[in-house]
Amino acid sequence: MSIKQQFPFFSNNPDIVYLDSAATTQKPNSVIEAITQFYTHSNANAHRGNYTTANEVTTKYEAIRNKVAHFIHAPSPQDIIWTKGTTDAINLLAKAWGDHNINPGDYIVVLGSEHHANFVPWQQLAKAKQANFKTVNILPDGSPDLEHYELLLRSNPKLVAIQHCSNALGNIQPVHHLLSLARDTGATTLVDGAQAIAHIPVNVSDLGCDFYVFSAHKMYGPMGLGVLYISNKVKQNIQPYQFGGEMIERVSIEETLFRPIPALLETGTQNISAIFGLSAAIDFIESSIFQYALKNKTQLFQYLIDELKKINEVQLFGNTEKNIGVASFKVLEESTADVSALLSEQNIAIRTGHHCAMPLMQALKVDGTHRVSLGIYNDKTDVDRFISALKSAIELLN
Amino acid sequence: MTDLTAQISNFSQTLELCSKEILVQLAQQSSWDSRYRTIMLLGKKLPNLNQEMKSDSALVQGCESNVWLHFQWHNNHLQLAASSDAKIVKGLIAIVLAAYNNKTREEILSFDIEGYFQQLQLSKNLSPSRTNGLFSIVKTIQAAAR
Ligand SMILES: Cc1ncc(COP(=O)(O)O)c(C=O)c1O
Repeated sequence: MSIKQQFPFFSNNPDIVYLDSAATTQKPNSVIEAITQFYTHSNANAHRGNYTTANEVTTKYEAIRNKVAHFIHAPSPQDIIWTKGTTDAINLLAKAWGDHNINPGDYIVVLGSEHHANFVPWQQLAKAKQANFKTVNILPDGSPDLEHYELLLRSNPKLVAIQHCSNALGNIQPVHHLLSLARDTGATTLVDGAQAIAHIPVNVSDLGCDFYVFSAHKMYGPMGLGVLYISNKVKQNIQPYQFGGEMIERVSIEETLFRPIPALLETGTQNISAIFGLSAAIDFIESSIFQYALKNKTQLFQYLIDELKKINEVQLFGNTEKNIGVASFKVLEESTADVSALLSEQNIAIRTGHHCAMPLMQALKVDGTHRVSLGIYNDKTDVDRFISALKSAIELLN
Repeated sequence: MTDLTAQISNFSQTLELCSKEILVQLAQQSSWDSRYRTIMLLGKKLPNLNQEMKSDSALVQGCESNVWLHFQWHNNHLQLAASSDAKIVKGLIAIVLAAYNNKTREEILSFDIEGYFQQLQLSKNLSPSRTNGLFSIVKTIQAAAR
């Protein structure tokens, strides 16, 4: 069975060429079944009841936390916090950590290529706190200007928040190097792993970052679930940002005693069905068929880039060598709206626009690009159909 | 008469587009690419806007690409001048102008624009954001007629 056949989306939409996996990945049967199975067989709240089903759900729920910890090489399952997604996790940190650790005059440093989700929360926090928000200049290939980065580090920033991979260009950023320089200055560090998690092995212990965040829906898992890793050494700097049920040890009229992280930050009922789905997504990613297909995806990406380079009118952006499988391009002399209309007419599903990275687009001096992003299920036929559709579009516009 | 007034007037009067003919013309196209080719050819019938007419104040909100729209009343008829930097959008603008240019308030308000778009089978080809852009042009024109 080909890997594509594990994804019912494709048999239900045989005409669509899906090349928008950076926006969200399709879901394999195993993930869909795990979610259904939860509701049809195991539906109970975690950490609430004392009857058999509830106990089983709680046990599995905590086992999945452990599985996620292993998946990203976190030292302890207690370092894993459930959120609604990457955006939610970063906003959570801006409140639960940022509010108590950023002071007037402090510096926050992010890359100029960040997704707005790892840009605007810090920009707004800095504004509220009269702190300084600095962005690292971006080189023409989408990578950070290291000289400028080192210059900014001289201000001893409180926080360095960087993307693992660029969603607009697919660049795998030199996070090891960036993090080791940031650590030397004593900065707290955050890595936005939303685009990395489905494509490259993530080892937070090896990276040595304080926070790592990602979304389940970009790794073949369900929507509405994200993961926030918090290293043990920064936990003491975090305060609760919402108040409610499970986070609490004891409440009296005078005071409330809170439970430690992760419970401290997991107020209310969590998205348990999605957590069960994520467990299946991790199994899928760790399966040998996936790992084999991942190698093919690298070759497919090379083929895609080679084919795009053969088209004279195409201008490619980003670093296509160190890349997770994203081709970001523009057709010279044509408006992106026209090209995107003609591709969509031919059932090609790609994303066109600024990709929630307007500061990066400004640095690259474009209004927007077309972004083709590969998932594990894409094959040569998909790329061929896309290239031929692109050629038809260019010809028609000429 | 100011320069801009004269330019809008000029644009509006040189337009030779007829919504009925457009319907017939598009209905004759059997393939998706010939439909788009026809739409883009319609766009080529729009006179060029000069730099002054491409001012930010003339930009229509809600469009994916830049769309500039000018209008004014002349002898109870609405004179329109519009364009876009995108070829397909420009063609769609021509289709809208064919319906509304040089028409009276009554004609504008009674024109069944949704039926027109349906007959053109445009909604199928247009993403919501693109249709929205088109509809913001239509709404601006309708508001002007009220
Ligand atoms: C790099 C990056 N960060 C953050 C996000 C936001 O993720 P979510 O919408 O799942 O919160 C995305 C999603 O597009 C992304 O690509």
